[in-house]
Amino acid sequence: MTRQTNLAALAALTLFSLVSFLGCEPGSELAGNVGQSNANSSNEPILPGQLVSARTPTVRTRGLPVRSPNSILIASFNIQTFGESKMKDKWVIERIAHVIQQFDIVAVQEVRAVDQTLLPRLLEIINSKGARYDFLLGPRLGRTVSKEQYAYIYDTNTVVTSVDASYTIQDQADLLHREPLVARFVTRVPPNIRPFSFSLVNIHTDPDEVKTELPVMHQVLKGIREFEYLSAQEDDVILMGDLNANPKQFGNLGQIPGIYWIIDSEFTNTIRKSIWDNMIFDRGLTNEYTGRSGVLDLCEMFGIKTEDALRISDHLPIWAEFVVTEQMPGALSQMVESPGQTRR
Amino acid sequence: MIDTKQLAEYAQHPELALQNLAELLSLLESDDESSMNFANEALENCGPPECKDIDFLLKKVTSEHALVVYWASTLLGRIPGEKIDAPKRVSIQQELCSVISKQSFDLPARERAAWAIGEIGQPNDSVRTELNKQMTGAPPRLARLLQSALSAS
Repeated sequence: MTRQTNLAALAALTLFSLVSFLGCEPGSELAGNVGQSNANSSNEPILPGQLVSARTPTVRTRGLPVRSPNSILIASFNIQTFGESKMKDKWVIERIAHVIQQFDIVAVQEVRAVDQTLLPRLLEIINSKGARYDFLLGPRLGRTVSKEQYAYIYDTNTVVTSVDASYTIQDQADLLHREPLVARFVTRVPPNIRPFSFSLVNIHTDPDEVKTELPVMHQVLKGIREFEYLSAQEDDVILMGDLNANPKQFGNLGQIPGIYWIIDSEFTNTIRKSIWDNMIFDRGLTNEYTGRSGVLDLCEMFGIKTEDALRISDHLPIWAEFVVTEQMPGALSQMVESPGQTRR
Repeated sequence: MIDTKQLAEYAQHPELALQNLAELLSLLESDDESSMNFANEALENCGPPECKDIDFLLKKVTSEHALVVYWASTLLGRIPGEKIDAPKRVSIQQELCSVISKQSFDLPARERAAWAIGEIGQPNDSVRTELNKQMTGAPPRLARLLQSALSAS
């Protein structure tokens, strides 16, 4: 939905200069994938009233809602040290691919490889049975020689994005170890239906710097929200990723009016002892959220022991469901709960 | 030959990583990308080391290798200050000060050394004097961390 906003709020952009869009040029670090996108490759005619989604009916994975053309599932997954070693482990990589196939968009943290063919190779596996996923990959980030990249892996059957609609936050004050990667998405719906458009903010805090990164996270989110509204009239901004913090540590971030986080008490690490990951948005503005969200238990999903799930990652994917059409204010308000409270 | 499976175990099990800090720190100097990444990941996740590791880590702080200094400083900074006796705390902080004072050394390593002093806390007068000295002309982030270290109780 679109909100009425105070454009003067731009003045509040003190922490970040958000005007530098990366990857707009072919050959840049962010390019090289979307240019080869499978997006829009379907020649099937779009009939009025029909969703464009070509999602094939799938068996419900335990813990996830039944897939519907009227909704999308957005996930965040820290694939711990996702590099050549995991790529070469057939057992692991097939399961990572299977996890990703459960969702329309997965915000990935911890891509760690100099070789930039890692995600194209993962995509080959994901798409090997006819799926049409693509990806956006951010620049290599980090203060030391050990760099990480954020990525978005998304189903081109259900959502659309572009490398031009993604950027890495410019953290001029150098407050964050790994500056968030923002990407705008739109659901694929027929021309006569208003699609759900939204911006995702992919973040991975440094566990040793949580005390300094988390207190500025509300400013990060506020700055991005203002920039997204002013530049694209986008009011649905979803911060997601590995915050290395539970909601009790959110501080000012948790005090933003209307703010909502999907994980309040369920552990998100594989050994089920901590909440590290979350998805945070304004529940009043992003009322496309259906109220369904959770943590995907890899042990249950694959029938494996924790020890084996740890081979995949020390994190579990977190997910939330959203309707594919832009909602008017209050349309789903009956489902709105108090900020920070999850609905299961 | 580096056993990547074993390295992955370190990344998955913090207690194993803490028992093998020497191996992990040496792997930071590895040319093999996977090994270095797993070592980084293991060190990121392993939590605070034991006080018995302090002397070993102090030696590593004097390494020429920036990433080793970065992680040795990080590990020292994770040890709760109250667990370290006062003389040892001073020697740690003085060693970290000498990292910060190497103007031409890797900036992230120097910043992490400043961070560690702040985390350990209670810098004595000589450490404070050195921190104040380093404030002059320090890049913004380092200056901020030095300031935090100075104000750490």
